[in-house]
Amino acid sequence: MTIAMNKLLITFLYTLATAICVVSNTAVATEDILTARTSSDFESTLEKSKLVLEEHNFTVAHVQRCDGGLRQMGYHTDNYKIIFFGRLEEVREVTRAHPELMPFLPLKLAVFAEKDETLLSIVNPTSILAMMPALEKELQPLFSKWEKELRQVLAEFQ
Amino acid sequence: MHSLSYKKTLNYLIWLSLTLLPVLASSSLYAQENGAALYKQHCSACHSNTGEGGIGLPLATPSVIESLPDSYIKKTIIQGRPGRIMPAFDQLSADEVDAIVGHMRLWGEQKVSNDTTPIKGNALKGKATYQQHCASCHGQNLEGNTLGTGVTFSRDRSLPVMPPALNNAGFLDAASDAMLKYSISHGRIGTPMPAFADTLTEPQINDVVSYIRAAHQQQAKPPVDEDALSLMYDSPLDFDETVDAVRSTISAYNFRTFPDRYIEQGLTDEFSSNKKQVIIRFCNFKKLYDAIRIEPRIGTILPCKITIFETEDGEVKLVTVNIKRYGSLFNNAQLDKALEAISEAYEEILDEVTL
Repeated sequence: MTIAMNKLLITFLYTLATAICVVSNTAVATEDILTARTSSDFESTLEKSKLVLEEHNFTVAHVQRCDGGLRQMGYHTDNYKIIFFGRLEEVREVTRAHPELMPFLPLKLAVFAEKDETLLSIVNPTSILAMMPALEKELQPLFSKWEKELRQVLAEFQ
Repeated sequence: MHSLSYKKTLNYLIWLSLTLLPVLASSSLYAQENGAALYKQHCSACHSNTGEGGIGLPLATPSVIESLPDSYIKKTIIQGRPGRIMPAFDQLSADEVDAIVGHMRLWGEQKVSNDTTPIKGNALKGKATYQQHCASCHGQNLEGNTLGTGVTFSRDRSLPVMPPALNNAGFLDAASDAMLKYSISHGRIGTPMPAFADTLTEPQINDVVSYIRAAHQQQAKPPVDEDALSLMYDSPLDFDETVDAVRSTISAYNFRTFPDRYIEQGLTDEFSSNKKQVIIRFCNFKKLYDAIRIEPRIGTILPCKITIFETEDGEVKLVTVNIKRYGSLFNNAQLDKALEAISEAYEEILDEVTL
């Protein structure tokens, strides 16, 4: 009887482990460059981007007109702008403790047209951190939070 | 006593299993029924929502989807294309990958066989045939079109696809000889790839397949760059002198400078920004244009910038990104080359200011 129960228990535990694996496998891919595509035109997407970022409590610091510079220099280009954004407290805290992260702040969202559609791209913050292993332990919570928030921002365009 | 305990345990396990079953079932159903959602989430940014392509291949084109075996699509999703724009989605579960493939199959059935038997041909003869019929589009050394990937910036929008790199390790690992032969024979109607069934004999096509396959044996893994992601230098000058020196040196290197910004500028009012953290932004538009043509998303790491800051101890430092290392996130060998030139300029500017 005890052997039968053990067998039953082992089978059950195996099934349980499989179930956990299956359920947990709905993880989100950790792409290095997070990208979203929208069928909306460029101008409305750019405006919406700023609003969505602000809805997620980010502050838009400024917008750089890549396309303007390229056109001025005689290059043919489609609409292409970069939104710089962040949160003062977070940026201040990170740059004070880790000046080596200054080049990555504020965060940048590239918004560019492709035919009648618009793409939005941003470097995954956790991919940056993965390339700086010494900081990973300390900054993982913040960078993971950013990643989650940025995925939510992009999800609003898909 | 034992019998009662056994029954209790059994009942408990049955109850637990029944509770778990819906979870398991819904998980599997989730993957199967959400192929469209998964595709939209992970693939549409490059291949478009309808599969008509963009940065990526127009997967919904009948001649394209028909020529791709399920096994090829699955491997491509999981392994990506090392050194090209297609990333590896190795975090997706097998169910999720199946669901995406299932969604893509709504665009067309697989017409190529699942046969994985290597095709026997003469690679040497195949090379000659390749040079004559294929190299003009796929490159002299199977490297593909070198103009880049993005529809908007790198090519005429009427072209639905760029000739892929046939020597890519990910491509060769995913593609069977049967698939290569099918694509060469049937071509891809609606793309620049013609059908060669009437132009070349079957042995000639087999030779070309063997030549392409031979490249697989010569693949070497690219070296992993473990250099620091950001570069920091001490300045021998005071803060203002350093800012001036960086700005004038950048101009001397044919970069155009933009108005300086503080890191905190725009995040707070102008009086509260830390004035001892200045970003000098600069750009060489020719280099920017070349980089965007290769990888339209490059704006996420540009423009070039060097940040000058003063520590609490009064030390002045310069910090910038190691653009070569940062650019490796794009998984694009062409872009790596383009960024090398920018990286060299960075180093020279920083050396000139700090030495």
